[in-house]
Amino acid sequence: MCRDCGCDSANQVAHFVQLVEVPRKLRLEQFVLAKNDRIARENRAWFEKQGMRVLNLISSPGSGKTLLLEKSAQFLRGESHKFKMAILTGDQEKDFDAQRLKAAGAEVLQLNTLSSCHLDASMIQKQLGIFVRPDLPLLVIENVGNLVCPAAFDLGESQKIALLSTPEGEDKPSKYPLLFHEAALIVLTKIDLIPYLDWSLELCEQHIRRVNATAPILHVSAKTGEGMERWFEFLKTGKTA
Amino acid sequence: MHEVSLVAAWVEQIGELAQKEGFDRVLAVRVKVGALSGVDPSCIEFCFPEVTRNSVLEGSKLILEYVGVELYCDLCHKISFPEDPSAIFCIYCHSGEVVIRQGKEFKVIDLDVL
Repeated sequence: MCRDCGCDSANQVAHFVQLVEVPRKLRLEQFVLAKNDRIARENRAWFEKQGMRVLNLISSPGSGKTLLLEKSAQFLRGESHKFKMAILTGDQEKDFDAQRLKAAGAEVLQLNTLSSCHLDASMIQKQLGIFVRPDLPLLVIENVGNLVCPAAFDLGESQKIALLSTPEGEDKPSKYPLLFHEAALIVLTKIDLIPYLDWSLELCEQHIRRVNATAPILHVSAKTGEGMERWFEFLKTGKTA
Repeated sequence: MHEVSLVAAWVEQIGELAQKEGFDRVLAVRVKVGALSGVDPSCIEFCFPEVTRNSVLEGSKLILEYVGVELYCDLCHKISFPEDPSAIFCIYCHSGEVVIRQGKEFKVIDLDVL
């Protein structure tokens, strides 16, 4: 090996070529998200070691994530220690959601992403052992309202949960397939509005099943309480039956 | 906006690589964009010149390669390539018990460097 450039020194032509700086090709096969994925793996290992369960809630803006969590915080307040919940809530700006959740009795921290449209794994990692602690063993991450980017950024969660509100129409799962494919649970929200909308449950479930054959689908109205007992059961046990 | 932060992530990672591998300039960067990656190739092309300014990637040629969806069926064990990326089920047996083998990626394949 040549000490100057690492080429085979017997190959004088190649050596000459290296000296006059001809471009070389570097093969990378590197995922652009490799750094995020590495931090997410570290987060996941930390959560598992601490015995924590972490849910990443993803949906469009205005689909009802915060109201669902307000009701959840009120419900879990009366439950035992092992269901104590912490909420990390992400938005580009403002802490309106954190204020609402705090008023409902939740342990909550607002994360503002400013220019970014999603939370990334490093934002979660910064809170490990600080806001995110094993004495609050259920962590719910309310992601920035967006159906695209949050699906691509692993945070280290145990499960992704997709929310879809009835006024958004039936076909969002086909338009944003990755999120609905990866979700372990799909929650249809605002079902109290069905009588006022031109919206078909059957069609919506067909769109979901095109991209996700197995995830349970819950129908809830956080406003009227309809279907909420199955959501609370999932929060506590991870099961929906 | 998503695409801007993704390109900014390359600039950072390739900048670190430049120090490690000893190159000053990137002439061309070849990138694979999957149909399910959530990344819009035209947005990448649009923001690339600005985001790479004052970096080793400044002035480099961007080559984007589009990758369709490849599914492996856990039931019938066949591989399928649905034309419609929003149809995540086996085109042979219509089972939804499929693994996405290809189509989620957004990765830098190689660089031509000086």
